Amino acid sequence: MSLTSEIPATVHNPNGSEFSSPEPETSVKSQGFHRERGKCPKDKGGTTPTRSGIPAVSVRNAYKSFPRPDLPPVEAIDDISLDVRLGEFVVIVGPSGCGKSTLLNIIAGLIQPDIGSVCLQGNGEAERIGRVAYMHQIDLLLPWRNVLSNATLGLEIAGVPRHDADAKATELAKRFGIADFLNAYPATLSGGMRQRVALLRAVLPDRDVLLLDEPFKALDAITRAELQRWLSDVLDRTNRATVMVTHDVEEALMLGDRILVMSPRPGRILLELDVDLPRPRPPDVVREPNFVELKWQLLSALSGEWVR
Amino acid sequence: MGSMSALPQTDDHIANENAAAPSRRSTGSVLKKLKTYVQNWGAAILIALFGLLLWELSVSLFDVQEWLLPPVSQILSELIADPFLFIENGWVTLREILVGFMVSATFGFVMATGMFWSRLLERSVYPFLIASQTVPVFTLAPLLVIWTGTGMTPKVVIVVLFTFFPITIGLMTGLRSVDPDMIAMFRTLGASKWQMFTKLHLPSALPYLFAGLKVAAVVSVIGAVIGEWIGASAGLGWLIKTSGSRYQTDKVFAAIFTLSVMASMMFILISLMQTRMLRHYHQSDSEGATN
Repeated sequence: MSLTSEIPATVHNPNGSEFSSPEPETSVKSQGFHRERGKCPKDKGGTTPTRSGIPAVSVRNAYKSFPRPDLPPVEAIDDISLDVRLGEFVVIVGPSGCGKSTLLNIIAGLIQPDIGSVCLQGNGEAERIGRVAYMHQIDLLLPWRNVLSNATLGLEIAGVPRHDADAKATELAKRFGIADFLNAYPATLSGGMRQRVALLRAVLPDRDVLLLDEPFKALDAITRAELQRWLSDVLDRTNRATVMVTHDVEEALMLGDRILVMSPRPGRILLELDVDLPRPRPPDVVREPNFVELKWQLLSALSGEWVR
Repeated sequence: MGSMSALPQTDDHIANENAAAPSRRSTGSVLKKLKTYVQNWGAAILIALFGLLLWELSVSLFDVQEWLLPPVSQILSELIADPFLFIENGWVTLREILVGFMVSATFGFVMATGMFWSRLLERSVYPFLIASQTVPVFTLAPLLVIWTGTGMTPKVVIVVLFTFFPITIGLMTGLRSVDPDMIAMFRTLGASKWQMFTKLHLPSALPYLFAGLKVAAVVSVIGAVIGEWIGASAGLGWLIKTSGSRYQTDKVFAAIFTLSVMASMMFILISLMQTRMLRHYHQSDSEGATN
């Protein structure tokens, strides 16, 4: 609406060093987004391209760079906009170091974009930290806690009584396939098991938004394939907006409803693709013509950017 | 020497405990445990025995004067002849050590957590903590005797001067060296700063704290002895000094032996606590790829 909406909403630098955000003109260059610049989508109809009301997450023209001593700043992401509705599983695919994790960190509220804004349920003002579930590449389990009390950490922090938290975790642990390990300590678990616990910890506090940052990256190929299938079974997607980041095109197609392809640094969105494969997707879905075609589109979008 | 043989190989010990994780108590596991102990301690004990034997033999072989270097057997018989002398004086020294240790642990905890929470406190206090370690404590001892008399107080103060530093620095380092990814994870779970302190920083700092406590345990004995050296009427340090001036070398050695046993016991006690409390800390690094 007004011009003021293009001024960076928040310029926050957690390192505390001097850093001024770049001039708005320099980064507000790529055009073609039909969305309103830097504004939270309001539930008034018309302006927002959503099927069902306000998107759970919407990122508007996010730009982020990181200062380096004696060097020009690294531009991590540039002009990224993205809407994710409840019940939707969006996968962001991109080469390593394209700012995918930066984007997730921004959505989670761990860092703030230099330019642009992030809205949860149409609210761009409220603190995002603590309202978004986030699962990292590495499990980050606390070695001094057993599986059960690792899993209930989020509930414990939220002040849920111990008994209720344990009951809730035990219930879900059955579906997660870790019910037999609740008293085990992380050091005795395999990498795949640890990631299951980490996901359980992330989803237990019942947040609307779940961010997955290459959750299977540290695992071997067999375990990864197993956990991909497990994840699509175990995640109740109906009440949650999920954003996963990966560099694995097949993983994206196995899990995603919609896939965004990101360019190398600074990360921009190159391609947006709806995955119209039926669920559940069995392992042999990879042979279906539809899958092959989508995979080819994704790969050419990625490699086209690499060649350039 | 005695103190060498008493140093346990803690890390191996912990690793072995972990390897036999869910152990059922049976004769087999008891034997296994015994075997582990022999593996961990056997070599050191053998070396100690060999050294003592060499000592004993060379004293009689080269006909060394007793007041220069008494044979091991005589030191032992000195210990056996009047055990209460060493127990009583040992108790005096041990009390000084324990009180000093407690004061240090409390002070160290308050200081380290204070500096963790307040950069201002760190900036204003840290230089003085360092400075306090550059002062040779031995030179302070006479002053302390002048100020606080020859009772327990100056010894405790010297023990504190020796021990608070490793405890404080250990805990502070531990509180500061938490994986930033872990902090990010706690933040996304909505943890307050206090929750993060109690549930993340403090447990993460325990291994560092124990490293500091172990160093403190060993040097605390030195502190107490220095305190007794300057002015005391009891204690192992006092016993060593008075016996030395009377050329009662066997008593000196017996007291030194008692001291090193005491220091080793403190060290072992803390190691056992560490093994118990940090049972699960040792991750198998094979899987946990850090990236």
